[in-house]
Amino acid sequence: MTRMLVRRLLAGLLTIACIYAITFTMVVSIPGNPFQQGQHRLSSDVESALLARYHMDNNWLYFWEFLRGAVRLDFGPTFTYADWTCNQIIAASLPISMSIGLAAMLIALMVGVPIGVTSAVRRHSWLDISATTLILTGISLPTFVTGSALLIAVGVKLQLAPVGGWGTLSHLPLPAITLSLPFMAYIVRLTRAGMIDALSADFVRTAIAKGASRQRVIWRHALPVALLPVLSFLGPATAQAVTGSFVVEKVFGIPGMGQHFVNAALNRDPGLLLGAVLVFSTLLVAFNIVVDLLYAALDPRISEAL
Amino acid sequence: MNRLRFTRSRQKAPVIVGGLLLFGLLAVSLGTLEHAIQWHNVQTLTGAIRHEPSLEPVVPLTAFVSGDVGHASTVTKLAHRATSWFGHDDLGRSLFYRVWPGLLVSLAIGLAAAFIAAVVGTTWGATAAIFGGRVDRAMMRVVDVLYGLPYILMVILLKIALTEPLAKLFGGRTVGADLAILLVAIGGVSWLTMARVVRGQVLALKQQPYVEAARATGASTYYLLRHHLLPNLVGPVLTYATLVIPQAILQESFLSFLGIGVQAPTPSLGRLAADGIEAVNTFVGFWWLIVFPCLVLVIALVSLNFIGDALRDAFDPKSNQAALLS
Amino acid sequence: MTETATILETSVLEIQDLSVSFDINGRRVPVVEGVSLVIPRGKTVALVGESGCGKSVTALSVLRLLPEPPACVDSGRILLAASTASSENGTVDLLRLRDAALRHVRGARVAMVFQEPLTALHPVMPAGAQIVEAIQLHENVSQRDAKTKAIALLDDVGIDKPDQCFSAYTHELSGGMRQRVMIAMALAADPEVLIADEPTTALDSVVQAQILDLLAKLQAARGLGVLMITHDLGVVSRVADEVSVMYAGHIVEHATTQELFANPQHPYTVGLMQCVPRITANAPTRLTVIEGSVPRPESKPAGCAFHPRCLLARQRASEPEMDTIALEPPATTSVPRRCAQAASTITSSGTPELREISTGHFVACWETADAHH
Repeated sequence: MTRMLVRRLLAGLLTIACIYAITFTMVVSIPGNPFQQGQHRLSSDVESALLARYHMDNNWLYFWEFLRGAVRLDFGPTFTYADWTCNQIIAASLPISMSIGLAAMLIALMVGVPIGVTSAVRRHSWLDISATTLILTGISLPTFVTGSALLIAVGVKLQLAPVGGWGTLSHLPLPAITLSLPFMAYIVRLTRAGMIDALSADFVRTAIAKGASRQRVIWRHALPVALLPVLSFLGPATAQAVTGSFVVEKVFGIPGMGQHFVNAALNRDPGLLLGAVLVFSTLLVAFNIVVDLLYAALDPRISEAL
Repeated sequence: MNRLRFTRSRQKAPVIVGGLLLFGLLAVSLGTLEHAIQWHNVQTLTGAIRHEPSLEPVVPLTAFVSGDVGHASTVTKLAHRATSWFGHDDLGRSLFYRVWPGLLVSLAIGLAAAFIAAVVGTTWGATAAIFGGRVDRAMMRVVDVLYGLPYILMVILLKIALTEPLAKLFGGRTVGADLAILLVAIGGVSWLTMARVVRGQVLALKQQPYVEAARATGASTYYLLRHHLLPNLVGPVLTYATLVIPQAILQESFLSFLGIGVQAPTPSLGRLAADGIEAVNTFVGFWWLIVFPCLVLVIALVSLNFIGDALRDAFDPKSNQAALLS
Repeated sequence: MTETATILETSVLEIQDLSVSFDINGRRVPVVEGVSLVIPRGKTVALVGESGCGKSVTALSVLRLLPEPPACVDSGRILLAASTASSENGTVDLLRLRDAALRHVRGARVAMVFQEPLTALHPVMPAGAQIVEAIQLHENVSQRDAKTKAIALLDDVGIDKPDQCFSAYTHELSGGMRQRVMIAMALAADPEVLIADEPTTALDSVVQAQILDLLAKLQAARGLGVLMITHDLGVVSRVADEVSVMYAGHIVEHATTQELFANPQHPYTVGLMQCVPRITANAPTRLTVIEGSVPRPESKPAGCAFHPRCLLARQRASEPEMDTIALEPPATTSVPRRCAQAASTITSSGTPELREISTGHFVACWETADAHH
């Protein structure tokens, strides 16, 4: 177990390094730099002095300088927001995105799994078909449409929740529900497929032959096996959810972290972009390891192979 | 193992419904194409600015037909009546004649992205699986790492990075160049799942007794590829390609929301929905600007997902197994 | 035999005139037709046949374990005798029980052992937990008592370290151990009938023998009625008191094990026996095979389903004055007309019915039965 953990951590570090290298390459190869943004143009002397100040005139130097800072958890200055450092921005926005993301994953699981199970058990019934259609409609609408619809219906018409912003618990449900929809749809599909496989397995027949009730067979025997693929999906999905979504943040006016990925890219702000990507990939690696450990705990066949 | 099997009529229903809906949408799009090209961008219909949908046209026939109004054909008259069915946008343009070509643009983006994903993903996945060993590990490591990148960020970066070189290639920022940039950006991140699926399939096929038997009799790699692997890959690749189309269309809508999607005045469903959201968020009155593009978007995407899911079920022998609990 | 009244004095389970069909691409295809079996209390009845003959379908339909659809039980009765322990419930027809009542039969009164223990046991539930579950589903006992009973059961089925096995997962056990766990689980709620569906097919021959001995021992100790499904005549001779031979959905011969091996009557049974190597034979004789294969249920030949492969039919066809009919090409031989024709003058389907040729020995064959008249 310890050996597996060490191996996973090393592989994770390698993944993070690769992600950093690829993102860095893309960042420096896109045209423009943070000092060319906005209305006023800097003189070329000032611009090159600024680039030199932040080591951006030499890609290799910048690569190593940023990495050196990042290892010490210092992502340097941002050029998108005056007087802020990347660390301050991430520290301010990550907790917000985390709470929305975790709530969204919880909702996605608690609604998605039962729907997936039910539609697998009553395969091709009208219940299955309507659940599938509803889910498909949900993911066929862009998040900015579903989010706005929720906002208008619940926030404006019914006045059950604040129309936007952040600060109290009542700000949480609408963005969390909006963010959960695409994940929920995926969880429903994975659960349904897993349950269909599990229900036609021999061990289900054995359970019925033992005299287990229908509900017991479904929830106690088939579901634990069917949920394994859902579990592997949860790692990357949670990492994605807790680092925020640009659309959800924009629609609900939330100062989360998702916007920084997009704004940093649009503003050619390499420090903030690389910092955000490093946070994302670290979380991704961490959640994947957690999922692996959970997987091993749930499936003895895997824990032996590790 | 690759025979299409729809064992029950209810299993067929989604494919039929999806196919019919998609066919209907396409028919309307293509049928109105001629007028749409002419009218999607006409802003001179003053008085129609943000006019709500109505069965009667709000713009006079003289504004719609140039020349002799008296000799307008029945088709032209009908086309004229349709201008106000979906209402008009903030520039007075007929939403009807923007939604239908928008669907075609969206579908084209989706299809092209699916094609890119299919070609790149199949080549990548099959190569990895056929060579196996180190090559396989290295190639799949690349896929793993790319999976680890924030998806939408990659699309944005690719889009920004590709804009200038591709525009140069096309001789300026034409509509074609614009679409090509979008396609490469979206297709460039869509092939990852395809590569994994194809690799899994090829690895499974390599273990099949008949492939081993063919190899034992001295069949060449080309022969195996041509006669055993490729025919068996058609099903899964087609299935996943079908599922890439809706994803790509949604990604384009997201880019439109950011303002870096299809460039105005070219309509796409995503662009129209994003524009609609802007209008609705400021003033809740203009519902049609969001409802009609989204309605068409949902119908198209649900149909595509229906077809894709049903294909996947049909190609996967496991999903046809009868279950004891039903 | 098909008209046996519902008298369950000496028998514990009776299958009467069972017909099962499958929906294959919209067509109803009969897979089991008019099968009757009696399992006497404390005896072992074997059901033998090649794969695809319908023997597993027969076994699974007893506890209604066939997926419906595509399967459909068209007719028949499966009678379970009033239990000796609780006399309040009389004879029940399992095919007419509601789900809740059926659950109290499954595992508790009729238990099953399946062919492939690796897939039939739960992959992520420890062996002990599966046995405990089987106990607690039918008995109101505490977790601790159930565990004690489960370990005792594991000991009963000959597992060396029952404590260790209790917490082991399926994939950690050997094939023989898995099947022992499966048997322990089947016996957990003290059933009266055990249905074993090819319990030794997936095992190697040494373990096979051990498992068969174990089953025989447990059966004697507990007075179980056993229905043993197998394609292996070696298994039959080892454990069975009575044998039914099945071909293409029909029972073609039934007798006591001794009688059947000494005096096989149906040409199919004769063929099956000639396929088995005998160590007792003095000179090494060539094994004969039955030509062809079991017909697919959707394309069963008219008349006696066995006639295209039947040596006796060909032999009898060469006799003078025999009314024969030529087989369809590519076959070049003829068989007696009554074997091959679905003549309404004989029976509706043209299938020969079981006839008693000597006490307790039934055969379904036009030619054999005729020879004894």
